[in-house]
Amino acid sequence: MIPVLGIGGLGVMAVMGIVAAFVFTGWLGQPVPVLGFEQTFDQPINFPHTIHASTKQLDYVPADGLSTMEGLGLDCTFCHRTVTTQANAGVPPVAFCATCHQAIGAADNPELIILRDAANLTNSKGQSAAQIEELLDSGVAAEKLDGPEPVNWKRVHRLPDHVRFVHEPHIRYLTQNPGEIKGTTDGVTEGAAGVCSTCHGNVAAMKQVEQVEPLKMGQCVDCHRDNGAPTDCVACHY
Amino acid sequence: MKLNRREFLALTGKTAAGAVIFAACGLPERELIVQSPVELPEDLVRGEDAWYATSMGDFTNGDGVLVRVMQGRAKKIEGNPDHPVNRGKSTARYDSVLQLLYHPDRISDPMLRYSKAGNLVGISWEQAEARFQEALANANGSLTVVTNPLRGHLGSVATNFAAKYSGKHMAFDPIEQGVLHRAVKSVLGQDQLPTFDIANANTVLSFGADWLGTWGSPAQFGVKYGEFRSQRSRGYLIHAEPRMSLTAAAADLWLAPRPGTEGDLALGIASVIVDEKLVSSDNIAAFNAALPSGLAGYSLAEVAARTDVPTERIEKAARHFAGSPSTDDKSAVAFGGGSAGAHTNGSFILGAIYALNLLVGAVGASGGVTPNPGSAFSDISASATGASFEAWEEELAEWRAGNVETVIIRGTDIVHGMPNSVAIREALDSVPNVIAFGAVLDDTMGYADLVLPELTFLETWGTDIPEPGPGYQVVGIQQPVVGPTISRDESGLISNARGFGDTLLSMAGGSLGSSMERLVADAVSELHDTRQGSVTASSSALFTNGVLQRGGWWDTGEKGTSSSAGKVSTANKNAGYSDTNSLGTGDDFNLVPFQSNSLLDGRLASTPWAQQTPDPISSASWSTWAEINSKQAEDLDIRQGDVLLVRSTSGEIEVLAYPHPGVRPGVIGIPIGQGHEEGGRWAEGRGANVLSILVDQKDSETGALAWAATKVRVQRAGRRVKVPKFEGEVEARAVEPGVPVLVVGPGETAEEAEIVNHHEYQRSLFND
Repeated sequence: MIPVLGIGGLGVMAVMGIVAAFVFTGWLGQPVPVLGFEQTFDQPINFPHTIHASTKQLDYVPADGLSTMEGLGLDCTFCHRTVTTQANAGVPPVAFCATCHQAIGAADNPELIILRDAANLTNSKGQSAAQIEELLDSGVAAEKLDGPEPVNWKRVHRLPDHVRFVHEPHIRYLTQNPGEIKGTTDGVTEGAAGVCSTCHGNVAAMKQVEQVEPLKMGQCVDCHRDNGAPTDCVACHY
Repeated sequence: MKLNRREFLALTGKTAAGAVIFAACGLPERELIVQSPVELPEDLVRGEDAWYATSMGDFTNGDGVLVRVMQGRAKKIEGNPDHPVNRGKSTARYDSVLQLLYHPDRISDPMLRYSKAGNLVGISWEQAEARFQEALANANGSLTVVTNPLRGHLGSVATNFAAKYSGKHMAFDPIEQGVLHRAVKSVLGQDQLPTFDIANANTVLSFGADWLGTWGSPAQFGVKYGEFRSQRSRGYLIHAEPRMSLTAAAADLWLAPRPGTEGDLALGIASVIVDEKLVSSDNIAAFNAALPSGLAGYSLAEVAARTDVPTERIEKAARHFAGSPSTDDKSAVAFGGGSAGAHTNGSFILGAIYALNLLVGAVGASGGVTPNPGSAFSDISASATGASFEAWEEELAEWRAGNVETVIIRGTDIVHGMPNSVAIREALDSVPNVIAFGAVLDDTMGYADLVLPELTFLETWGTDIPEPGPGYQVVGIQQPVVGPTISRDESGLISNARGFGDTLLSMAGGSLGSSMERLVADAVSELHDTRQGSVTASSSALFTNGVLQRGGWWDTGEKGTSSSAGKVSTANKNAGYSDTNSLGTGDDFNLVPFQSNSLLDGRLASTPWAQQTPDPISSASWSTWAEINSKQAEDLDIRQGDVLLVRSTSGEIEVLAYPHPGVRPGVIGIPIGQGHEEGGRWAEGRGANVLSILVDQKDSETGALAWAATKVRVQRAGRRVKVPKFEGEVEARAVEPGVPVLVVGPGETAEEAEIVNHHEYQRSLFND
C-alpha cells in the first residue's frame, strides 16, 4: 500500500476506480431487475405465455380479426416437462412446438414462419415438409436443404454459477404445502402452475416474460428460514 | 490536474489491463442463451438413462444386447432378457466393446498412403471417395472384398458389392469353422450349425470346444449350463481337451488326449458303448451306418494307447454318456470344435464326435442336438464361415502375382491372423489399392493405401442371424444407439467415421440400396408380411417399433428339421504334425493355440478392459504366456516367467512360461490375440502373435488351416519376466471359521456356535 499511496491522489483514485468498476460489473452481471429496471429481452420468436398459459379472455386479436380469444390454460409442465423431476425446468424442443403448430396458427403469421422453418416443416424456399422428405429420399444431402435448426431463447431467469438450484424439491414442497405459495396466477391455480408463481410471478399474464422477483440470496434465505429448510451454505453452494 | 507523458502512458496501460480483467468477469454470451434443440431425444434427459436393444454381430455369434445410454453416451452393455439366444446373460467381452466407441486412438478421418513406402496422411472424405472410385474403376474385375464372416444384411451387401464389380467376397476367420460346418453337414445333414440342448441333457460330452469360454455362443451356452447344473440330477459334464480350458475346469470328468487323437477317443467311447450294448440296437445300427469302416482298430486298449487316456476313464465317460443305470433320463449330447477340429484329420475327428449323437439317439431329441432352421430372409444365408485356408493360399498367390488390383478389407486383421508361410505382407504390397475399414488401427492397416474410419455396431444399422440359433428362426436387429461422439473439448467429432455397409452402398451409386437403414427397414417389413413371430402389430410402423424395442424378431414356430444322417469322413484318420528336425536345440511340444477369453482372436486387443481381464485359468493379463505342464517344466528346469523361445518352421515368438498342472505333458498352450504391430496404445507391441508361427498344415478334406497341428521346439531364452497375473500375487489371509458359514452343533444356539468357532480360530492362530 505504501508505494501506491506514495503516488498520491492519482493512485488512490485509480485503486478506488478499479474497486468501483469491479462492484459495478458484479451487480450488472447479475439479474437485471436488481437495479430497478424490469428489463426483459426480445426473443427470437415472440412467445406469448398469455395465449398458452392463461385462462382469461385476452385482449389479443387473432389472425382472422373477428373472434376474440381465450388463453389455452396449459399447465406449465406441459412444456417445461422436467420441472417436477429434475434440476432444470427444461425448454421444449422445437419439434414439440411443431406438434401443434404444424396445424394451429395462420400460415402467414411471421412468428410461426420462424418456428416452422426451424422445425423444417417449411423452409426458406417455401417447400412443405412432404416436399422436403421427398427431396431427402431422392438422395439430396440434408445439408443442402436448410434443415431443422435449434432456437436460441434468451435466458430471463438466471442464478449465478456458484448457486445450485434444483427445481424438483421446491416444486414438491410447495405442492404439498400450498399455503406457502406466494404470488398470484392468472386463473391457473392448480398444481405446479400455482407453485411456480412464488419465484416467477404471474407468467401466464406476461406477453413477454420478465423477472419480477429479485432472486437474490436474501430472498432464498428468507424463504428457507420461514419454511424450516436448511440455511447452511452447502445447501446451495456446492 | 497535471499529467506528464510518462504518467499518461502508465494510466493508459492500467486502464487497458482493467478493461481486459473486467471483460473476463462478465458473463459469456452462451450463458444467457437457453437453446431448445430441434428434437429432444428421450436419452438427452438429464439424469435419466435410456436402454436400447440391439445386436452385437462382430463380437458375438448373434447375442442380443441392451445398451444403457445417458445423454447420448453409451455407458454399459448388458444381455437382452427378451432375446432368445443369450436370454439376458452376457460375457465380460460385452463391456470391452464400449471402449472401441470412445477409444482415444480411434481413427478420426480417412487416411491415404501416397506410395507403399510412405506414411498415412489425413484426407477428407471427398478425397477418399474419389480415391475409392478410382480404385474401383481400375479394378476392372480384379477386386476382392475381405471381411470377417458376416451374418445378416451386411454380408449380403459385401457380396453384392463384389459381384457388381465382378470381384469376389472372401471371409477370413483365423479360427476357421469350415471343418465344423462340413462335419455337421456330412454327419447330421444340416446346413446351419445346430444348437445343443445342454439344459435338458443328462450328460454333455464335448471335445476341444471351450463352449463356456469362447467357442460358439458362450452366452447362450452359459445360460444352458446353469440350467444343466440346476436339474435334479445336476447333469454330468465330460470334456476332452489337451489343456484345461474354462470348460475343462467346469467338467466332472476331464480327459486330456494327445492332440489329434480326439477322433480316436470318440470312437473308443463308442466301442465301449457298442461292446457293452449300453444303447438300443437301432441306435447302434444308425451309428454303424454313419461309420462305414466300422469300429475295427478302436478297441478300448488300442484307443487308450493312442490317446494316452486311461482305459477306466474312457469306460467311465462311455457309461455316463450312454446314460447311467441309476437314472431314467438317458439324454446326452456330444459336440466338438475348436482345437479338436484343427488337425490334418479334423474332418474325421469332428465327424466321429458328431456321430456319437446317433449312437445315443440325440438328434432332434430333448437334451440332444437341436437343428436350426434356415434364414427368415430368402436372400440372406443363416450361416457364415470364412473361406478355407487353401482358398486363401490360392487367393494370396494371385495377389502376389499382381493379378488383383483392389482389395477392400473390413472387420478382420489378415496380417495378424495369417501364418507367416503365406507372406501376407508381400501379398498386400503387391496389390495397388488396399482399402481398409476400421475403428482403431490394426496390423492390416499398416499395409493399406487407404484407411477409412468405420462406425462401430453401436452407431449403425444392420441385421444379425445368430449361429447357432436357439432352434427356431431369429433375426436380431442392430440399430444405432448413439450419435456421433463429440470430443471432450467440444472442438469436433471423435471420429468422422461412416458405416462399412453405407459406404459400399454409396460407392455403388445406390444401385444396391440407398442405405443400410433402408435395407433393414425393408427387411423388417418383410418380416411383418409373414404375420408370424414374436411381434404382432396392426401397422408396419408399429411392427418396426416393436421389433426395435425387443432387439429383434423370432418365430418359435419355425423350427429346424432333422434330416437323414450322413457319413463320417474317414479319408484321413491319423493326424499329421509339422516337422521340428531343423529347429535347433530345445524340446518338442505340440502347440495348442487357444482364443483368449477376453481378446478373442485379437479383435478386442485394443481395448484396455479386455487387456486387463484376467484369463480364467492362469489369471494372467496384458501379455502372452505359455501354459506347460508343471511336472514337465520342473524336469526341464523351466520356472514361471522364464522367457521361452517357441520356434516352428514358420518362425519364432517369445512367450512367458506359465507352468500349470492343467496341461497335458508335451503340450504347450498359447493364447491368441496379442502381438500386434499396430492397434492403438494398449495393443501395440504387446506380447506375441502365436498365429504367425503356425505351419501351413491343412485338414485334408476341407483345406482348412490345421491350427493345432503345429509342433514347436521350445528353448529358454535365459531371461525371466514377472508374469502379470492375479493369482498368487496377493497374500491370502485366513478367514475366521464360522463367519462365512456358521456350523451349529445339535442343541447349540447360533450365538454359542459363533463363540465356539471364534475360540477355535483363536487357537489355530496362536497355539499352532
